[in-house]
Amino acid sequence: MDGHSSAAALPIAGMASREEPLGSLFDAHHERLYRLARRMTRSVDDALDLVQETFVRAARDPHAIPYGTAPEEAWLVRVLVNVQRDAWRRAAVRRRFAPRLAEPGAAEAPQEAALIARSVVWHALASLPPRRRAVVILRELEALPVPEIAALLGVSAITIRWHLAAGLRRLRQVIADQREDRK
Amino acid sequence: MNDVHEQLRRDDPLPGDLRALEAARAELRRKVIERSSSLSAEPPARSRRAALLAIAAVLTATIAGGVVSMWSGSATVVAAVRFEVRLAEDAPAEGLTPASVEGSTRTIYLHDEVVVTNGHILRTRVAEDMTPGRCRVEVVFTPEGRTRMQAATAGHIGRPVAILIDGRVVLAPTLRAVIAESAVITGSYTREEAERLAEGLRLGR
Repeated sequence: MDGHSSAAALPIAGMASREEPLGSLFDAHHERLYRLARRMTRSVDDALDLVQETFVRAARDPHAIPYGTAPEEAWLVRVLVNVQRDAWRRAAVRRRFAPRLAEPGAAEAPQEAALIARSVVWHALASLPPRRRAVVILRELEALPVPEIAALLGVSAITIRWHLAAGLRRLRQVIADQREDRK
Repeated sequence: MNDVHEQLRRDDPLPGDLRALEAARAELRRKVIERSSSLSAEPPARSRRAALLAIAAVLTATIAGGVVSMWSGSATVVAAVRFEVRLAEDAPAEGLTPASVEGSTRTIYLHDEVVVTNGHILRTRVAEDMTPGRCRVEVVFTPEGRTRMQAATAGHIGRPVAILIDGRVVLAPTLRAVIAESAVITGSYTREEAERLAEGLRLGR
């Protein structure tokens, strides 16, 4: 502890509530997380569950949360992507051991299947690994610059560009296949 | 490329589903708090580790004050760090105790009353500082700690407040606003030093 102390004590800024730290964390970041979660999941309920799980993981390990609004946000976004990735891996294992359950459309209600049919590109987006999906969403829909996405997800800009290129290539292929089918 | 962008935008579910968040916000918040509250009944691994470290520190250290970091073989055992916040003045006066501010030639004059101490710490966090490779420690106060800090600092704006670690004044910033929720200890610490400080502050509760 030989560090040279130099700065000031500060009150936490931008907290909407003084009720409790977790409540404050929720108030400050839930909308941002929901925006990403809704685009990364198939339904409102899935998105709300994902946001809820993200904050519960934060509550399990409060000391891991960095200080400051931007670092908090980045940390929570990474947790959200990891939660989604865990779910994606579990689903992959289920598909491997019970392939019939995963046949396209088998588990989807007719209405949902119709919705997906209108939005092939979103269907393809949902098939991307979660981190790649998040990169495409943050770049294409939230229009964030690559360095900002890199900071948010805690990886290098090169990795982001690689995910972006691979994700867009996949989505373009899906659109091209769709056009072929229509001919 | 444009096709992808346009199709993603055209079928984006978010604009239509923002209202769903409005409707679910309060319930979602309640569920998060409720589920998190139930977690406290089951201490997470980190808390158990902290408890083991505390026990190890007590067993290993008969060191007076218990305020030093110790190494035993290759394992680091962190002992409690005594934390205090006190009001201070720039000029001497009767009843005040002079103290040097670490890393500077400045002397401040401490009030006797301790505003908050380890017992008022709810949690600590280590975060990257502005200086690359350096870290700071944030201390978040309990509700009682917040009340005490708010009451003490409200009438002290423009004057110094001292943060003491193990009886040494490590920071004495001039108050520019009321402090309630937290304090930040920025000391150009390495991550290891900051982690040790943060752990020591928690152990001292």
